Amino acid sequence: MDETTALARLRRGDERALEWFVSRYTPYVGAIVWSIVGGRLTVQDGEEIAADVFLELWRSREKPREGAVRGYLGAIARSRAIDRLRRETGQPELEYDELDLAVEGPEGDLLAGEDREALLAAVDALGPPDREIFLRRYYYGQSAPEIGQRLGMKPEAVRQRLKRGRDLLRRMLTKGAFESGNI
Amino acid sequence: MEIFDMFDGLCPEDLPLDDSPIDTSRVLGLVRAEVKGARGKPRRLGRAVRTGLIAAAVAAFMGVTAYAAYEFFIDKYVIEQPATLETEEEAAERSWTRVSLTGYQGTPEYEAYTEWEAYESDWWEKARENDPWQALGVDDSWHETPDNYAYLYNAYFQEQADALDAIVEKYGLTLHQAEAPYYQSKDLYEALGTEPFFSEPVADVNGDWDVSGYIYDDGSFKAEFDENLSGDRTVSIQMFVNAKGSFATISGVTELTEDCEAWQYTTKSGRSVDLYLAPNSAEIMTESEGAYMDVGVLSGSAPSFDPSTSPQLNEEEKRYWIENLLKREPDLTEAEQEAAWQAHYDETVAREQSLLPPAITREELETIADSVDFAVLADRFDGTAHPDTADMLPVLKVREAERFSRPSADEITELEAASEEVIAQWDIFQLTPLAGYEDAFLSGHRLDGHTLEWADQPAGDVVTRQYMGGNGGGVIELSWYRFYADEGRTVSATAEVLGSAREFYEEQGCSVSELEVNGCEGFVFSDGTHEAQAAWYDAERDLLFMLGAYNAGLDADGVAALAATVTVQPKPLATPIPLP
Repeated sequence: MDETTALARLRRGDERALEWFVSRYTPYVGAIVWSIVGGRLTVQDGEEIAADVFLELWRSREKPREGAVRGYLGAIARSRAIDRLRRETGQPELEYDELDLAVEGPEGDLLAGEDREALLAAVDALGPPDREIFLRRYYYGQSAPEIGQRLGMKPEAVRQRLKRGRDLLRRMLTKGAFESGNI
Repeated sequence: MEIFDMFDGLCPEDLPLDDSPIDTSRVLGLVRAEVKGARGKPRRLGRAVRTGLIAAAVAAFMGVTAYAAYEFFIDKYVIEQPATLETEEEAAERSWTRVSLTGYQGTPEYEAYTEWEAYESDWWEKARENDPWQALGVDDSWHETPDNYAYLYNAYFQEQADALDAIVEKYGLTLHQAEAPYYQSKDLYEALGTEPFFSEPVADVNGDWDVSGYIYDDGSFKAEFDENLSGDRTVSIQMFVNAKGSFATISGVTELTEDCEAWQYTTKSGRSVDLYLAPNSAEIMTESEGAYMDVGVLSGSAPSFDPSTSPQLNEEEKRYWIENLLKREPDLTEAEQEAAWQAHYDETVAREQSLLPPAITREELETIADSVDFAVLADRFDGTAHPDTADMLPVLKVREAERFSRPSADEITELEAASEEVIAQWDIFQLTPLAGYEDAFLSGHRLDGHTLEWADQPAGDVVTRQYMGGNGGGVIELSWYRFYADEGRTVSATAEVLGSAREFYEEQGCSVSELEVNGCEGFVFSDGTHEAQAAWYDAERDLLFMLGAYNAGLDADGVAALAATVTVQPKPLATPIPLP
């Protein structure tokens, strides 16, 4: 069956449709989960987290829009993995200089509503390899040494790129700068 | 706000994805177990739940006219009224009633089930204030009871297991010891040692997934499959066969309405069954000396989509949808916003209604009943010993693991080598930068052996370039494909797929127009809100191009104009395109 049909069946409570989504998206969900917990939790933990993601899909099957299931699963996967990691290890932790990204706006909580889309656009605008480094650090919680090992860079080089990314992000997310198109 | 928290609820496109050891088959097993209620939180419903109404079929076999003893004939099976469901809107709108699918009032199976449910509900109510796992300092996957108690009956703590044992002993029943999934009807027949008893299941496109479900060590099983009605109408079926004398926690929900009807029917195999037809559900029920049998049809006499109960169309969703619309078209008046929402609303309702299962008639329900050979099952579950399927369960688990196995290291190496070979043979094309997207991000990837939804043949090769971000936001994606009619990749099927793609989008209700791009034939469409696509076939290079714009502020004309700027020229790869 195709995804449109599977989603319609899922919403009607068809368990086989859920299994269809599990079969199709476990590699994707598993990759996100393992990018976060790999090396810190066991494979069994990772599989349980992945299962939790699909169970959340089952419980909230009316929520994901057609064509957006992958992104919906990805967001849940990150959330579940980070929560589990924090509960069991206290990670990920910020380094002292990463606390400088105290982003604020006129309304206080900048990252609400449409500004979340601005964040994604700003991250995308970082360009390679900074975008990947930024996501590995702040989406997955990987450490600078881990990122460096994956990308063949020294940890300090990774930290420098992260700092540059944070500086750029802070400028981008300031409402005035974004509205003028100075990305 | 901490920077990690900024990404809560978000999922960027094109995340860096590394290999993971997380196994699909094990995740599937965990999910299946939980959906069937094997883990964790208090469950509101029985382990296998679906819509349906149980008629008082048993009366016929017992030689007792039970109808007169009850206000409604379903009362014999009622467990909970109204039912508590995952979707509260459904419960409110349709007054669902939950009924047992394993026995009825007065039978040991039913009485044990309801007593266990009452115990469970009370236990979890008390435990809710103090998470029992947290109190023990263990993960919520931990259990101190044997696996079958935990995974098949939700008894994770010894106290619960002791209570379950007491109930089971009180009613002279036995517990299931194990279960295993299956994905083909032949596996089910092999496990039970019977001749085939489904005559009309619809196989998937690969032809090897027709009936799936799970089976226990005593032969009790669940089966799910699709069945063809007349024409191209297909309905989904969920069937349960539960061995008498075995303790099971399986329930369904009924639909109480004046439009229901029930009658008895004798199937072609000579078995008398009770049929029930409601607007959104239908049931076929019978029993033998050794088992209760129930066939639920996920359709009814008048399936309907009620927009007032749909989260896709409620006020919160409307507000969110209009907010997104205003990002692309900030100058819309309130009247224009309302009109746009109404168009989206009407389109969504039409789409949901088009996805409803077909309505079924009395005659079609009888035909479905004929498609299950209850006589074969009655012979197998004849009241003597339960079918012993324990030896087959490990075999079925191995087959499941083989079905969902990841490619081996050698297979991955072969895929990578084939990918590099194909990429080296292709010209690489440059998309002229679009104004406003000069700073956008480029990415590329290749899919191999991926079956696309609108191509009824194995996909050949595809390369994609994505443009994301920029002042306008959204995503623009240019892909080029080459399809093959044979596994050896010697015969092209690319030209035919252009037609398949067009048909697919037309069937989705998109308004599709002709398009010519640099002398190449194609088509273009827009969904009127956030998506527009153009596709064209380059015969000289045997490549199908697809240019899509998502939330990029481009309509069909805009995408067509952009397509005209795609320049076809050889370009060496600056860096290797990584595999997903």
